[in-house]
Amino acid sequence: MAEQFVGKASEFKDGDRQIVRIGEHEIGIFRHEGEFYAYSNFCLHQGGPACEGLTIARVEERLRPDKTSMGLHFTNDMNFVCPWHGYEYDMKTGEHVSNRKLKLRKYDVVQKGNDVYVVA
Amino acid sequence: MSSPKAGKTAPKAKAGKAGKPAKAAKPAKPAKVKAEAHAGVAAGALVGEDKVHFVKAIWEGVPSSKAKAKGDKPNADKAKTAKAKAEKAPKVEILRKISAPARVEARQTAESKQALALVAALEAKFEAGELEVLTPEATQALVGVICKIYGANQESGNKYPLLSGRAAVTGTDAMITCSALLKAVDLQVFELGMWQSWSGV
Repeated sequence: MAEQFVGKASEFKDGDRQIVRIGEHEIGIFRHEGEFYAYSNFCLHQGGPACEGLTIARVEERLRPDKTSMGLHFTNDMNFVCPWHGYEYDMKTGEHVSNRKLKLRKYDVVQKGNDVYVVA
Repeated sequence: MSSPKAGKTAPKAKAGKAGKPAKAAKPAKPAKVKAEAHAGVAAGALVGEDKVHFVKAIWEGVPSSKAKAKGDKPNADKAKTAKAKAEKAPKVEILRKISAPARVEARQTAESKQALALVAALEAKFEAGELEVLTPEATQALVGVICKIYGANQESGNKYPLLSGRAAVTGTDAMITCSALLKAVDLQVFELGMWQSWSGV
């Protein structure tokens, strides 16, 4: 495991992504709310490009006390969706949103000044 | 007679001693003996330090040409190992860059601000379960003016999505509203399909 230079922080705008290959690892690097996150680009479902689909706020259905629906709402938590079959992962943890036991491999991201490194 | 006996016996005894070579009977450390013999033969012409080196070489073996090269060029060897390490280290290959979705930057107007404030108030009441927050007349007027404004903007080239990502309108909501709109203007779904295929919208 070594730090691999993947780009300049100034080249990543908030919401930008970059897909890189480091050796045998294909990794998606996200910049979200100023923080960097890096996950394996292989979807846990069928190996699709998990990090290349939509990024979308998490949808919640709010219920009244009598369990009737108040409608769907977007929360402030961001998810990303595999474009093949819609597996949805939490941006901050890489966990599948409906089954938290499923988790994409997470890589550490180190920022040194303007340089961004992924530990892989 | 004694002297010839003695004379006879004496050479026998000598012969017996000579026939028993003491060193040959004890074959101890044959390798050393062999090596010494080698050294003795080959190093016969060598003197002093050269002889020492020669014997050492016989005992320890002569370093191969590769080993000599290693010893002679330590820096070259280091450079080789560094190069090999660099070749082994994984290379970073950038496959794709995906930019954040573009945001629609528009000039803010007083009416827009009022509309956003109205929407926030309506959302709050709707979330509280007040379904009749708008009268049918008010709903019709709002939907009508939004249809006109949106249609005119699209036709003039100012294209933008009708709903933002955070509107949380369900597919069912959209289908109900689309169906009601088509019905309100007396259009069938096949006419919508025909128009879409002709216009490319």
